[in-house]
Amino acid sequence: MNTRIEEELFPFYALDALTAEEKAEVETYIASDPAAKARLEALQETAALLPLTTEPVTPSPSVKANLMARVQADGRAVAPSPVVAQKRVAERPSSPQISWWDRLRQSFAMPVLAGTAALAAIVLFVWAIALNQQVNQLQDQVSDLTSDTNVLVEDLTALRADNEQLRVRNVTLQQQLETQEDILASYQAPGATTLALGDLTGENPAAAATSTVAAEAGVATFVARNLPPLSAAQVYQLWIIRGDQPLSAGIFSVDENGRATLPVDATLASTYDAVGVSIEPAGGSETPTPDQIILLGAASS
Amino acid sequence: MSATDEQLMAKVAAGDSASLETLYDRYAATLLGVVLRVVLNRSVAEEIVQETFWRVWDKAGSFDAAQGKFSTWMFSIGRRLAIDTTRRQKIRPQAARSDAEEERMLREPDEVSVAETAVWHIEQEQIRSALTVLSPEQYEVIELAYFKGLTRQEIAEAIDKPLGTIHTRARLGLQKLRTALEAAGIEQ
Repeated sequence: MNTRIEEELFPFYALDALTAEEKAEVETYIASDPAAKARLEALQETAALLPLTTEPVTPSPSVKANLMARVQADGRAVAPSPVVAQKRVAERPSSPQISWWDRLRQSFAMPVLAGTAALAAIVLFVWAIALNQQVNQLQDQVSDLTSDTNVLVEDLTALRADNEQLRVRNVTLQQQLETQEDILASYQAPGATTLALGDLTGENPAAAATSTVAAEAGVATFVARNLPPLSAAQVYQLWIIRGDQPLSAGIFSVDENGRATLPVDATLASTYDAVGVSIEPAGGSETPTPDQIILLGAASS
Repeated sequence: MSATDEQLMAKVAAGDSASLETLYDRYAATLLGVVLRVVLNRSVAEEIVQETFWRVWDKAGSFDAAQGKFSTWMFSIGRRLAIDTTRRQKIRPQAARSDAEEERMLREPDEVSVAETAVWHIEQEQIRSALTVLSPEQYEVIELAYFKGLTRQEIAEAIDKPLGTIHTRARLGLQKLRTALEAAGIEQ
């Protein structure tokens, strides 16, 4: 059971007051959990009664008249059943027999009716023009709103892209922070020793590195900074030098800031006379290329 | 015995305008009451009632009684139209209106209908009385969500309370209302 969805979103789903995304989240959740769906339906049934808490207000008769006129004008309306038709006929007052005098009077009334009809036609024509103007205005407003919506959608898309970049950046920084915390922890471990490596050639005076060994914790870390970038065919290689015997401790590359962090076998790194870094062909070498050692640090005697 | 809503809707779907008229007579007053709580304007509310029943007619073929009651479907259409209208007009929803304003809206131009739906009216009274079990704070959240169409975040902002408080009030409010309706024997 997802308590967050059920306690936070279910009531507002029942009240039809969630955003589209929140509704989708709820629907995905209940699709795989019939019990949760039943709990939601119980809330919906209660919320469905809320309209009945309002005081009824009878609409004006014109509302129903307009509605039914619109329905009758719609082609789908079928003729009322004979029973309904008979009932409606029965509801109408019965018309008395029309006398010859009434017929004569109606014939005089025809011109008046024709004039009234013409007047009504003019009024309807003017009304139609006014309605047409209103429709045009509404269409303009819809067009403006559509344009605004498009701009907002573009802004939203751009913001989502920015957000994704920030999310990726955040993950990267988080990983870097964890690495730095690990390094810091190794520095602070009991009995930890750190050897500083410096530029050997004089060509990269800012290049430096440290090799920290916490033998009791079984952790060793090599950290380099300000190393120059290499071609794709080259790598840096770390060497633990005992006497005149260089032992490879791994190959590495640097980031755009010339930084690199390399975990090292603590057993290998704990005993040394010197530690060095050389530039080697991709894949590394069996022994350091003599004139390619760029960083070196020697154990103090 | 009169036809059920769902039986009438089956006829409406077949083009029977008389059945639509029956449904209108049955629900238009309640719907207008609901819509007025949202839009606070009588003439706009009446247009929405007319449009709602037009859509009932127009969309009758898509109504599925197996998915829920007709009244729920119809009130949902009307309420959503009212909320959309309010949002388009950028009317800031309010939790409650003044008594004077309410009285004015109820007074013009017709009286409240009670004649043909006596039993239903009694049920409505029972439902209204069930609302009294809610605290004013719980009622306010439900009112803003259901009748004003505000999201959780908008409600929290409107009444200046944390989102967690809004969740609790809505959840407990609906639970208490359900318990009260069950105790009153109202079918949900």
